[in-house]
Amino acid sequence: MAALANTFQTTNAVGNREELSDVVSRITPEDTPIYSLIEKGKCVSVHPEWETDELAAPAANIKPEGDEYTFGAITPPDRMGNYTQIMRKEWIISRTQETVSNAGNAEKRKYQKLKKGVEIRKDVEFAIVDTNASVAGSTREFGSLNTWIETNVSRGAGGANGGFDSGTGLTVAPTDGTQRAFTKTILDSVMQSGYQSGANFRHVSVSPYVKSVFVTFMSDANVAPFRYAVSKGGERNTIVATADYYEGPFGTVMIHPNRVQAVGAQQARNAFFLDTDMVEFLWLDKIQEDKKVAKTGDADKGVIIGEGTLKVKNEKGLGVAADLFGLTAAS
Amino acid sequence: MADAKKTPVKLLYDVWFKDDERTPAGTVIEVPVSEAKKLIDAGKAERADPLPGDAE
Repeated sequence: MAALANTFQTTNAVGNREELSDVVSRITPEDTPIYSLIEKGKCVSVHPEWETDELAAPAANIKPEGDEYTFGAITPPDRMGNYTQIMRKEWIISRTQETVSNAGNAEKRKYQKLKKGVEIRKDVEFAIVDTNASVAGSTREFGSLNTWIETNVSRGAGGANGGFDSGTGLTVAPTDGTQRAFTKTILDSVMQSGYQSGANFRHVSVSPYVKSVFVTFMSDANVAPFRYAVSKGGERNTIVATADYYEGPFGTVMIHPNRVQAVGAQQARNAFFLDTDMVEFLWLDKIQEDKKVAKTGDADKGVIIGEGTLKVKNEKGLGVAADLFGLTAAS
Repeated sequence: MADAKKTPVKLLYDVWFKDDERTPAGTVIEVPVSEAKKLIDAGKAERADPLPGDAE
């Protein structure tokens, strides 16, 4: 039944207090799996370099009695390097906005500084998992993980390796192949290649969709099935449909779903196999607030800035399963 | 239908012509001309066809 005539309702009122919570719910996840896993170090130039070396392949070593010595040539180590990349986030807030009462204080300097700090860390993770060849010069770019790895690789048809080019001193982006579904065979083949190359893979970083494909490997005929006890009385049982580790013929790896790899198809199509001893992030200038930003006008300016690069100590310690359907079953 | 005309290229990087089947860098391989153009444009291969006057 409708309200009686002249019932004064909230829609007629002009003085009711509004209610705006002081709690701002920020959903954006802050995790950066690869950056968090790897070592962090320092560099003192915009082009840190390092060397990689390896043993000769084992071969028959049989010499005759009384033989004269012969001396083989020494192969020098490979010298490689990466360029630092400047990453930055800025904001500007008027003095008045900084002074007024603001619900949750989300539109104030302190909150913005915190938020931009998290954002820039996620940008570092993005730069690591993206496909981006290194660039020298004044707008330097560091070569992403994908542009370094050339040994322990699985690609789709039409794909081609990139890698470090000792002639130019830069990394080269790989060529995308035809995408395919992630399979246990692909996982095993990259792990086998890594094992043969001397890598000790401990972690695999994948897009969330690829993680969901990984858990279906438990249905593979060659995988020991899970067995869980049903609780007494059949109450509060759990459907177990996940797995975080893969124990294969060539070691055990933890599969990390990486939300930054879900940003786009280019980041989602690769699964990165990591030996965290073989990769490091070097900071020339660690992410920090530039406190010397000149004040002009009636506003407060803020800048968070950092400069760093990815050091791939030896690409043979890393692996990539490329050209995977990373977002859906067909993309 | 006639097969697409092929030309030899020398791979500068490892290439996967089939899913999960690697052809290593340094290999000289005959590929269809369109494929050769793509590889050369991407900087992944160089021409390996005989120069004029090269003996067969």
